[in-house]
Amino acid sequence: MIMQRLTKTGIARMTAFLDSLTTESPLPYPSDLLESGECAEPFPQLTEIEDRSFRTRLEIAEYLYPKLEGADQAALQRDPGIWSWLALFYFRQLCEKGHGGKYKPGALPRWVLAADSYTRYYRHLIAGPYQIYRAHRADPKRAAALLCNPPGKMGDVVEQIASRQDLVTNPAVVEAATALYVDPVSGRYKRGAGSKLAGSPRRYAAVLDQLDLTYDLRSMSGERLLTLLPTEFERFRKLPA
Amino acid sequence: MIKRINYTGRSKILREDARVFMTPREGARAVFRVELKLGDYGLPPDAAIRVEAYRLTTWMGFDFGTIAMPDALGDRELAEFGDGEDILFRVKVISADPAKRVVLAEADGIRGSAPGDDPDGREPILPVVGEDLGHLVWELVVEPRPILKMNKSVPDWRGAAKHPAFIALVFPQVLRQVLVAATNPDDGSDPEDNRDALSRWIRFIERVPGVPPLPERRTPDEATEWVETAVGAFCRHQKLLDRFVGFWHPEVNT
Repeated sequence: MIMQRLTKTGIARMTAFLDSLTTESPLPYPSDLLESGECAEPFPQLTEIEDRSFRTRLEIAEYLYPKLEGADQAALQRDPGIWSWLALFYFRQLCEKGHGGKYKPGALPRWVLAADSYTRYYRHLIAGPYQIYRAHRADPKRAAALLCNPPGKMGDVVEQIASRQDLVTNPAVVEAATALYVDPVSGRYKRGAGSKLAGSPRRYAAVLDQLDLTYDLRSMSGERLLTLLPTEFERFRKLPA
Repeated sequence: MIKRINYTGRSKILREDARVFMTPREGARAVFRVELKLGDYGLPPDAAIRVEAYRLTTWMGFDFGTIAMPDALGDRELAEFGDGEDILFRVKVISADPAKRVVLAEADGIRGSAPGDDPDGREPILPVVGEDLGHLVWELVVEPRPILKMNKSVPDWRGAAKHPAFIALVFPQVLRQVLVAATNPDDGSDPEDNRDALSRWIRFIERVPGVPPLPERRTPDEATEWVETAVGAFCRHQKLLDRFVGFWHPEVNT
């Protein structure tokens, strides 16, 4: 299908659809919004998007990056129409289902880009992985900690790191998070990476907050940053691959 | 809020000592230049100066030489950003020791201004910006400095933010939220520190008739009481009730 961008009307109808999913009278999936017309208009460059399945957020980003690389990235970054269209296109794959197969869409910024809010921007299920991938395009593997989850799930590492501009764009911070929380063999989170206890992503963000007051974290390698972390992080450094 | 302890005594750089000027260019990437006055901070001559630009997940760093030999000449291109909208800047002074790379001084959350703007270097205490806020009309961001966001879908949103009814209904709550943050002992702000954005608010409200000085030592209850006293005095001084009634029932002469 040729990629489009949702118009304001399209976004309003998509929002109405998402809102309805939390009621007793959910609306049917509005596939008509994807077609060019009042609700959608062509993306500036002709781009074919396939309805394919992805195992991880990284796979989504890897698929989309070459397709969107030639676009005006500044405009793309803050265009809710494009990201909303993509989220709607992949909705049935991205949206979790609850009891009785009922969709559980979660908060609106997961689907409609909160383009002006850095604290909600990263929650978009398509724009989030794409922009993280783009920020670390020189070595996307180092961002595994932010991209290894299934496409519809963020996880606490993403919540703690991606909500902070200075952390999510910092290669050392992201590389060290991957070393701590991602099993290099399976490519999945290590056991305990979702906890809130000692050495957890929540504590990692808090410790970084403190280190940032003293050190220029931008000047460091991920390896050097790991040596500055307190002993509570040993359990993740030592966990077998 | 997690308390952060500044063990190294890192200096805050005053806004007027780190100014950023943006030059938007039609059909081309924005450029910026900086004006730095770092001579009075007692920083080592070999410490490095870096300016960082950031927006959402986009970041760029620029080296501006050292304290002894600053290299702030000429415009720098914001190649990663395209247009210059919504970009914030951070100025860092970093120790020369490559093993430690300690941050010695910093100013963060700087908005670029157009050349010729704001000639005396003062910034408004509450900058107002237009943003896409969904169905919210306004939103207050307190950190790193208070900013009032207006939904840019509101026609003439700048005018709306100055409307007497809007001011009467919204500003007391804005003031309350900012003062609660400013009086929170864990927020790291120091009322004696004239460089802190929240401290500016304390000094601003203390000049309003009827507002007592903020007690240096205070319990949470005393802080709450002080905030409510300050908000009440502000409303009185600004005649917010009269303003609202004048909008709601213009025929009533209050």
